[in-house]
Amino acid sequence: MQALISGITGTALLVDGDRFSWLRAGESAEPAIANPAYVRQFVSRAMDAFAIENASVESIRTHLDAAWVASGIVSSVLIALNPDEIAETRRLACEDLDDSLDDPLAVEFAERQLLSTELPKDYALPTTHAGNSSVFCKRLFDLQPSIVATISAFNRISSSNFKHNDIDFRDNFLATAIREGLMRLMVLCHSGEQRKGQVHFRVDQMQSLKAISGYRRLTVEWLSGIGLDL
Amino acid sequence: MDIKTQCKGCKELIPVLEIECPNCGKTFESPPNVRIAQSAPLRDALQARYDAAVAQARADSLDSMRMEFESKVQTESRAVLSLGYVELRYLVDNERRVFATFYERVEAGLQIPSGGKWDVLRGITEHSLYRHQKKHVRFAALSLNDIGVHNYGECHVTLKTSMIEDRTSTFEDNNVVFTVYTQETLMKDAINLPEGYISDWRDRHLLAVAKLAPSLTISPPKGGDFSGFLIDQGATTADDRFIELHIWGPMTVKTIEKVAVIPKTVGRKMRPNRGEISSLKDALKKFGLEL
Repeated sequence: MQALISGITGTALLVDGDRFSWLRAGESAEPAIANPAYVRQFVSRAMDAFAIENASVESIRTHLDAAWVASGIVSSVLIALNPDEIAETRRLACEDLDDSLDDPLAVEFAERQLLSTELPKDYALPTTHAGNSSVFCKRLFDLQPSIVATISAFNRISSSNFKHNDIDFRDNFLATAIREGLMRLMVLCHSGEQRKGQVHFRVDQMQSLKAISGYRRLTVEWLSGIGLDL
Repeated sequence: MDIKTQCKGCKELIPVLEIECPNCGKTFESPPNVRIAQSAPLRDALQARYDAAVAQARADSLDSMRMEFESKVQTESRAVLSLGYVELRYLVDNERRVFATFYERVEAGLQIPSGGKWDVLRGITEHSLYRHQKKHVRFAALSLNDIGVHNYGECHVTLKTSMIEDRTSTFEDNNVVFTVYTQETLMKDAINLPEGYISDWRDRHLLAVAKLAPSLTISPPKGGDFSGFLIDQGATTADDRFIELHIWGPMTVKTIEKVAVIPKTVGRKMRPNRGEISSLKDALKKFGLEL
């Protein structure tokens, strides 16, 4: 069975032949039959969805719950660090974050997004809050140089490598690389947190990335930009 | 769909889905979905369904309840979009952002993996009653309590009636569920709009009565609260029953009249969480909106 998993919507769409079903995050119920209206709704709203294949319902459920928590982590971080938010809102976001960092898979999914874009220059750690959220946010700031280097390497990929020099194709490749964790992995390898040998193994599991025409050539060129290979 | 509209400029009959006359370039006053709903065969068919429903309610001694329901729908029902927090923030954080249509989202967003086992998804996402004009249509639900369909998101956005009434049509149910399940039409053939199951905004009470008055004997609303009667919240989307609104053209945060959030809670975790709700509240204030 394969599935598309979305933390933003808190749902997973399970595809088994021509039969669709769906799961909701945090619920232990069996998958419910998904009618075409649901399928359409999912596909239009699950902007963060990533695919997994040959998965059991339990494995899909684990990924879904983590993705749902992860989307909350991303929101909380961006609110906690934003100087334009009022102090009380930032404090609440830090508390929400403290409550959400206990699931390593959820943290990994959140990092896929958080490590894909440089934080605005005026973002800062809230000075009044200590706890897991502070440690998590400090690490995020420490990783900023690796994020910048990885983005820069992407921008140096020769445009002729993208199909028809198509800007949509380029954006889609990058969005997929972020959703499936390639960019996070590259940032962590660049910073020395992850071993370089992980890349080949992990890319092989990225189903949506592999579905993109010419993905291997693009990935190799991108990786080489930060001194990695496939 | 063989409905035609007469152009007020050159008097030629033009396919109803056109936005402007291909002969003289004159723009039609109403968008295609509204002109379809107002076309004589569809209006007549709806009126016939409505008349039958009223007659049945009278025969069942439920006419006063039918009239109360009809009056509430006519005077109090609103268009409500149900969204996730992230989608709503996208709109609220920049007043120039336009809420994307279903087809724009599909094109811009998800990368459906290629390969035979995923292709079945594509057929479903390409279906549309509005064919080449499908990118203009946004969907919402008709609601009596400013809460939309729970399965579509935790944030319920009531739209300003004055900004949507002239470009909105109503449909019996979710159009895909209705055409494929209720009418048992193949997805690829589901492009002919059924007569009697569509109305313009001003006649939405006729459609509501035609659809729901026959159910008054089966599940009469309690205490005059018809909100759960108009939207039957299902455990899954397959069980949701509601009147679907087709809204032609763009909408931004300035199209919003009010927002309600019903967070989903799992254990100690909640979405939207407290920080998100507090932040949203502040963001909405900039537009004079309360949460």
